[in-house]
Amino acid sequence: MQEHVHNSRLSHKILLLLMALTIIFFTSFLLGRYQVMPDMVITILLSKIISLPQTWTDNMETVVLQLRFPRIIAALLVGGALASSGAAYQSLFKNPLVSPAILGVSAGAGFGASLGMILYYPWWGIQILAFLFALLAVAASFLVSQIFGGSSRNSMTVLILGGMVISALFQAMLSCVKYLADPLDTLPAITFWLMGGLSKVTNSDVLFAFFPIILSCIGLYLIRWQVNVLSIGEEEAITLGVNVNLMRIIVVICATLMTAAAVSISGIIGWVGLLIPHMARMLVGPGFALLLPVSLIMGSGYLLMVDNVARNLTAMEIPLGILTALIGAPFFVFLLSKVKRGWT
Amino acid sequence: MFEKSMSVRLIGLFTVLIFAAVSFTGCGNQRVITDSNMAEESRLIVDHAGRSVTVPVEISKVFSISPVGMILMYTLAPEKLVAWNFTIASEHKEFILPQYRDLPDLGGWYANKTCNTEELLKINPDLFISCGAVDKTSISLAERIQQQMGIPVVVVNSELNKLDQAYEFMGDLLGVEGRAGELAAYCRSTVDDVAAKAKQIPGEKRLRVYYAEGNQGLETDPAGSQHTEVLDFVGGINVADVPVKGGMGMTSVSLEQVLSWNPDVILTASMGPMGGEEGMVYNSITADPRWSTIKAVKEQRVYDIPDKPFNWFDRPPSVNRIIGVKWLANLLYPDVYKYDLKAEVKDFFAKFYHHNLSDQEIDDLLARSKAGVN
Amino acid sequence: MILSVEDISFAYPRRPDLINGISFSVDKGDVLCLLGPNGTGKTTLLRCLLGINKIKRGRIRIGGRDISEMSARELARLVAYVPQAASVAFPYQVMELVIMGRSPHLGVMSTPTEKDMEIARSALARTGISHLQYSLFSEISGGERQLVLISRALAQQSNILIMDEPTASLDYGNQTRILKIVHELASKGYTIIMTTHFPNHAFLACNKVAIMKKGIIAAIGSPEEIITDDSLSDLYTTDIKVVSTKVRGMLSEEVKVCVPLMTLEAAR
Repeated sequence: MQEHVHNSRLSHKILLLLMALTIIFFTSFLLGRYQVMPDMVITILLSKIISLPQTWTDNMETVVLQLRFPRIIAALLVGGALASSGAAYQSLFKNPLVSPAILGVSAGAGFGASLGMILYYPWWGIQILAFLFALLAVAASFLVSQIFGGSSRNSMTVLILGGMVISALFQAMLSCVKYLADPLDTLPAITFWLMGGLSKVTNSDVLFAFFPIILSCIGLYLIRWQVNVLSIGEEEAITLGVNVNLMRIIVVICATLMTAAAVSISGIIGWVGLLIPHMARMLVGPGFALLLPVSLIMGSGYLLMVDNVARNLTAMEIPLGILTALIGAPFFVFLLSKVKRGWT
Repeated sequence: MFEKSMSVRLIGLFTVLIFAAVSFTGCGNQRVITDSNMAEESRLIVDHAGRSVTVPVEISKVFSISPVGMILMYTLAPEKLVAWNFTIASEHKEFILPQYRDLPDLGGWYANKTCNTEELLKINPDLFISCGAVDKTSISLAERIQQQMGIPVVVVNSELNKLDQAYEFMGDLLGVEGRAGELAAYCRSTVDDVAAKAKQIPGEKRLRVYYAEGNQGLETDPAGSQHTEVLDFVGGINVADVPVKGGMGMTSVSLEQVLSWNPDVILTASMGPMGGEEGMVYNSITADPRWSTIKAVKEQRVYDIPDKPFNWFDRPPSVNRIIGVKWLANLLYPDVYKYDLKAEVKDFFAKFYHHNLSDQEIDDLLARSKAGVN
Repeated sequence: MILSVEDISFAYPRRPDLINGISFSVDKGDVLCLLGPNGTGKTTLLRCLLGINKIKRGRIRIGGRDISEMSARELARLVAYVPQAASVAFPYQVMELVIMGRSPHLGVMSTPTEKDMEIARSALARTGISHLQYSLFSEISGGERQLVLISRALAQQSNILIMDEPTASLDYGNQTRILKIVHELASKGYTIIMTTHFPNHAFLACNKVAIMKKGIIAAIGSPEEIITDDSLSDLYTTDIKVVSTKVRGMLSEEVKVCVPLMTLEAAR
């Protein structure tokens, strides 16, 4: 038996996770299809902090600072955002099978991005459309739930139903856009986007996604105890002094902002938001106060590792969403067979 | 231009919705299809896939199931072409003869496009053609369409060095042997000439080329793909060592991978004939500092592939590749090929498109596509 | 009066009233037992007292203050809830659930401190389940779960406890265990309002009984005056006899027990 609440073993676990993440982070800089020797990578990275004589080629600098750096940071941000918003939604809906896409954020982003593509918008325009439609989809789900069951006893169920309806609607509109897209070039582009990937990420994309994700993480972290209490049920949470309506809105806003920002730079990447919170829960228990930071760290590290595979295995880029599903689905089954504590 | 293509799309979207609504109520004005085919004389032919197909002797209405055949038909016998496969953007339409600009767009059986079959049956073509590489997929597709529609489908091999045979075969089918012979001869002489000269290029002089597709130039197709036949043919080395994908092709690669390939030349694909900003990929690659250390960018050897009236290189891989071969051959190895490109382009457009190019038009066509421009 | 309910009514929007014109009051140390068949609005009434249901008429005062003017946090410091022991979605350990009782005393952005842990531990000790603190809530028995939820309410340090059928689906041993704790808590100054389907429990642990019928309180008073043959038979529409017997060693020598009678006519 182990204790989840306050324990030095738990802080050891977090410390170990952080160390693992740091190692993965620095190792990722050494990996790539373009040959840059490890000492060169370190020199180039250091040159940004202290001034050093240039002993490397311009190509090497581009590879390390313009290509690997944004991609690594993006993997951390996207993985962390998906995992922590997944954890937040699972606690909010007190359902361990909920993923960040539950309120239609991915469907909205997919429609937005493909709309941008058939209109031949530049890349940043596509990202902004994806982001805006992701927010719009969740807002619509929320509105539907407020109109059709805001005050009823099962308002969470109504919210999930609203999300399903809006997701289906945006999926249909996405299909419509795909149908109208030029099958010679735009359609493959949409397909690639929907499979997810970080190969096109630039430093400015990272900057675009950074603030929504970090601010939302901080927001969720600040109300971590309230969300924890919410996970035993809305009505009990009320009797324990939680302002349920306010907390629910904050969770939905934070989770939506961070997922939308992540999806708009990475395309649709499944399984991270479902799988990682489960692994985190097996490690530190269901208490959200710990679950959130652990999910964040594990999600970041996991996606970074998977992306390293995606960009290194072959000359061809392997779409990230395919890899996360290929790894995630069997792993999830494995977890189910291993789990002794059960979910109920 | 953005607004225009947007409104076109919105209208398209609307049409889809209306069609969905109308399909439930049923159409009031049914047309009686006269079964004229039965009375006509027919003959048995063998197509490029070795299939025996019974076709009418007199063929006046032809529909191509994909864009490659559509372009072949337009260049050979536009008066017999009944529909386009996609909506052609207005800048491209300028090179199409006015009387054919407003043919309907009925889609086709390619990529995941579907065809409006009832609309097509209203036109009641005499023949369908399926152009492209001949493989099991294309043969079974042809069989399926023939069964479904009850209209003969012939498979035509339109690989680059088989284009002459494609024209001759079609000329015989349609009874336009004269014009077909002329176009076939042009294709044959181009292919023979380039093939002979390509052999003279010594291995160490061969340029390493990256074909940049997708809206950021980070999709590509490798040597051996039907999408890069032109490059292979003129003696360029395709840097992409990724597996060949069938069908629509396109493989994602990372910019880091492109940097490590460090190509001598980059060819950028335009965003296709449905619209999109001209030279979008070209502009973004030449302006992006992250690409700037690549040899091709440093030495200003990034070229945008001409795409009027249809692409000269790929997507669709059509007969325009004949002029594409000359363009690329001259661009990569001017000392070997020594073509007078302007004259060649003028000649090609006159022969294949009945369009006499002005000098201004030629300059516009090749604005981003000739040596020393960027 | 520590808690007074003045003529309250409640209904879901565009629905008929579930409770209508209910008034009563309880004092420090009172144990009020709500009796009534299923669907008479007992739980609805409890939910009103807890602030989950917003009443549409009347007033509920605690220590003289109207609860509709309080935040959820303020109310939670005065009233604690012991729900029926259901399952939770996640594998929480007992301690993790009990410590949640400290929530109304924490800032919105803070987490429990060592001092809160101490309070939670002593709450577990009071119900005698300290040994369960690291067990999974999902893996302990129904009686133990009920004790965990009572511990959580104790950790909340509110003087009023609201219990929804605390003895439902428990065996005799666990029933008496819970009732003993209820009795003890009342003697320490807690005010307790509970619902039950066992009129016997009212004799064992309560000093006040209210009979609820179709959304109103039909009668309220001491168990002895309220629980009679007639009132019970009328309430549950079956013949019930209240019998008394003498048992040596009990708190009061005389013990009252309700016995439902199955007559031949009823069985037929």
